[in-house]
Amino acid sequence: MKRMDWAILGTALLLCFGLWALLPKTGNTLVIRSAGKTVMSIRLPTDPAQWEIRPGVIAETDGKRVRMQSSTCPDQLCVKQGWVASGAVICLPERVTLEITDGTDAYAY
Amino acid sequence: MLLGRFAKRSGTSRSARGFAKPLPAIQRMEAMRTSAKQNRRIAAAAASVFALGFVAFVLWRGSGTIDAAQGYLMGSIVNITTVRNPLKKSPTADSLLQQFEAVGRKCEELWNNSPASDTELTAFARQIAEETDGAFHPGLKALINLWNIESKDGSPPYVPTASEIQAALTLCDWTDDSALHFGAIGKGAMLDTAAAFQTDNPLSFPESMLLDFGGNILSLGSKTLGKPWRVALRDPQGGGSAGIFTLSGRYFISTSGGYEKYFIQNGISYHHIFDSRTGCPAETGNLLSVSVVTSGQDHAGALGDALSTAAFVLGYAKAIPILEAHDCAAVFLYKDGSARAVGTVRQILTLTESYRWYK
Repeated sequence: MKRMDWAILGTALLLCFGLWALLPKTGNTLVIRSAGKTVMSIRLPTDPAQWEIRPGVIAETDGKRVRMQSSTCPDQLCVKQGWVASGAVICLPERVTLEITDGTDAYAY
Repeated sequence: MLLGRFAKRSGTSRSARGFAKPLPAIQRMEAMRTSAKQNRRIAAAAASVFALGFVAFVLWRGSGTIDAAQGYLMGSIVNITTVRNPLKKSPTADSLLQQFEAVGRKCEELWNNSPASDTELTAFARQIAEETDGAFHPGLKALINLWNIESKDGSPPYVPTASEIQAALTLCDWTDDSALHFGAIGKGAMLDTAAAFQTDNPLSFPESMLLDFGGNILSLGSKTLGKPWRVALRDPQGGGSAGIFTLSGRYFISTSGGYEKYFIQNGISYHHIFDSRTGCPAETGNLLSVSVVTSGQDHAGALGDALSTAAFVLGYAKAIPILEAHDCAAVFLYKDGSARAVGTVRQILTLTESYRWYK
């Protein structure tokens, strides 16, 4: 019966592992917000990609980082900010933020 | 306990192993009893697993759920993260944000139109200005308007001539009500307002909240399951982080650096933190930024905001006595990747591989 005991324990462990696997991953997440509302929140894709938030406002990811590729704002500060690996690219005039979170809750700057 | 029970019974279960051949009646009955025992044992084990799972689930949910909202105030982004406790009807992040924005807009209007009528903040700003001998200077309105680094009204920033700077500096007197500008203390003062919500209404305000007001941080309480808030300190050089703050309890973090707001003209970079002695952006050499951490001091948010500006203008050696007099922790980041600590900052800040502690 020892074998049965181990089988039960194993099943229990498997169950726990399954539940744990179902919990949200703490890897890098890409969050795009527009006017305070989250429009996208996904695991950062490993392949390069572009995301059109609205016409002329385009975000780009390269697998590790995010940048504002183009924006319709007058100052273009968000585009000049360049690639960001953790933290946020902020376009104040367009009220768009691109954020890569790695389990941190906020950024001090 | 579960394992103990299995171990105790394994003696009898070993004898019940392997029934390939037909068994005598007594042995068959013995076998049936054993299989009933087995079933009971499996049921007990399954029940235990579910009970444990249920307890874990209740503990997890009962410790609250994370709720976040984002808004805009005074030209900055506001992020509020809070822990909602299902047993206590905690307010949503959205309602906290609205509360904060409503107060913030009133303060903004007041500070723009007649800052001196905020007598408490005015008195406090003047006190810090005296102490830092003008390194934090709340009377630079003429200078700030002259350079226009924040491009108010859409007009571009402007590099003034020496005589224009001298003319503006004669108007810069923090004892003069009409010269007051709270740009270097206002955000910190707003964090004080938010922290006061909790002190004033401990029942209707959440125990745990993380407020990010344009990079100025207020932390209250901790995350779910008592985990600390994790706040990354942005690396002024490049897109990563310079370190991670782990915060449990009430902390204010204010950072001043030349990398946040600036413009470039003819290859020269001009940032937004002025030296009141020269009327120009502060010359700080290798110093990139100063982050000041305050906690229980009077006007802790405003204090941290004002002293981070003063420390950035003064540099490490001259800032130390002022920071220590106010019991502040601080970190100074330098272009060569070194970091200098003041007070107990190393207890809450872990540097990333991009920076190392001095010496």
